[in-house]
Amino acid sequence: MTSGAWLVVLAVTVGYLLASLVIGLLSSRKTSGGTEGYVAGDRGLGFISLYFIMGASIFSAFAFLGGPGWAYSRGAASFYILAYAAVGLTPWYFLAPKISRLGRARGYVTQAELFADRFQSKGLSAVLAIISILGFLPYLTLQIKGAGYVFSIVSEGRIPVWAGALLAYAVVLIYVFKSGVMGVAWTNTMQGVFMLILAWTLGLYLPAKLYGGVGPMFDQLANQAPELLRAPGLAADGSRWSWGGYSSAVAISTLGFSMWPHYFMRIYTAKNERTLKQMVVFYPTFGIFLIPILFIGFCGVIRFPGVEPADTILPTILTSLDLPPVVIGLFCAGALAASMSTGDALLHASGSVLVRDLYRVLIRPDIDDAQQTRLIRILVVVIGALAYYFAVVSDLSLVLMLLLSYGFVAQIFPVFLATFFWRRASRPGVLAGLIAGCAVTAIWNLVPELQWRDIHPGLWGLAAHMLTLVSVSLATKPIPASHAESFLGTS
Amino acid sequence: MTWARRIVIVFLLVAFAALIWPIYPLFGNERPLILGMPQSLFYVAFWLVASFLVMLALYLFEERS
Repeated sequence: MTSGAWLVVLAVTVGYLLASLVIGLLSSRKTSGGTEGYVAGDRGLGFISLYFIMGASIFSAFAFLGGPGWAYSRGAASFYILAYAAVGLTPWYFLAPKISRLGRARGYVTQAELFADRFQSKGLSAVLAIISILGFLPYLTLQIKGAGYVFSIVSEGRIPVWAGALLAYAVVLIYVFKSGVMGVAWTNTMQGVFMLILAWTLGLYLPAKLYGGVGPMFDQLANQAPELLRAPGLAADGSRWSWGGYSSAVAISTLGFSMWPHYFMRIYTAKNERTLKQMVVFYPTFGIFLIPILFIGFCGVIRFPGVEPADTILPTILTSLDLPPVVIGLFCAGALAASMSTGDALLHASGSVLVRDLYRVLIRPDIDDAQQTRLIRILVVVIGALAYYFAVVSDLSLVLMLLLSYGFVAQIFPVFLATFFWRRASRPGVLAGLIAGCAVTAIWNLVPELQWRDIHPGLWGLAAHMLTLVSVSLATKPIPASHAESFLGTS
Repeated sequence: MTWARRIVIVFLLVAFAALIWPIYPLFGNERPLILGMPQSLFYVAFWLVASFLVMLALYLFEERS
């Protein structure tokens, strides 16, 4: 690119950032000032906002840069990103209406508040808060890194990663700080529409330009690299991936998906039960929207062999095609949108969880509403700074943390089942199960010798969790029936 | 639980099982190409669309009654 061209690219990207900022700030006028407004949007979000908030969760920086990278280097292995969208959110169809009703009646705005109330346990609230933060931090760090890379690629290294990450996340911090969940909702709607248009345009245009269409592209690939297209694709080292690894990755993602605390909190933001059901029904469409993103990665296999690291395949193709700078600018804005729309929700949830589920429960039960909101805002800034440090300063490996976090979050699933379907579950049973599940997940991650057929550590954790939950519950006193009754069942 | 919900839950369990071992290996080949996609990808996309349509049908059915 000439020096003039990259300025155009930068202008488009910065223009996009400004638009996010304006929309994010305007949205704050729509809610009350209290925690109910800041964390749960006064329980008034409609279908469109909820749909894009949940969609943004799948269209993260991982999907936008990592998705093509996976398709490029690991082929059919990348289909697992689609597979869990098929049924991952469906448990909500049956239970979210009830959770939303309970939340409205009893004032919950976080996931742990529901479970801690069901089992009358402050300890459970604290353990869930810690799991949440451990799960959030590596994801947030990755999103921030992703934003930094975008600027660095756009400017051909003229803007360093640290400066780009700082610029994008300063914008995110400002609108999350000011507007809370409404800032997340409004910006995600804009970012979502933008990403969809871009994903489909690029995903269909690139195969057409390079191969004459999607069909001809896969035809050539099936001849030249059939092992790449055959499920379950390749492992990270280029050898064939195992079915145990693929299947257990799909299973743990499907079970864990609906349990992520920052998505779970969205249940409380819904205007009514119908809105929630519609959101769950339409969720798999986001999996379908993701398919063209994978086409982009497959495009590179024959025409651009040997790109390292694989995650840069999309920018590599784009910059080699002689596209107008405005188009490249739009792509960069799309990648930023993917990063920011995931990062903002994580930041917002981190602050909310720390204050509501940890500080308020263990340290200051008498904290008033205005103080809570103020404290959440302060923590949003602190967590943002911490994740920024991990993203650009520290050399800490994120891979292990990411593996651990999905395994940990999936451990919330049995707690969810026990809450609604098992009368006999006791407080010590649920707490011991959760701790046993996380401990086993961590041990299996840290000791590679324990691996068997690449089964995800989280599944061993789930087995330990269920066994402990059932045996300890049966040996201890149940929750009084009068209290448990209102939680049991789907209605 | 209503019969409609029972049927849908059975469908969801089938869909979940269909996307992993040992069923997915039966449909996870590179050919034939269907709608331009390899069988392995078309098969996953098929379940996404099926899941969407089944949940939509349940929703519309429950709204009407």
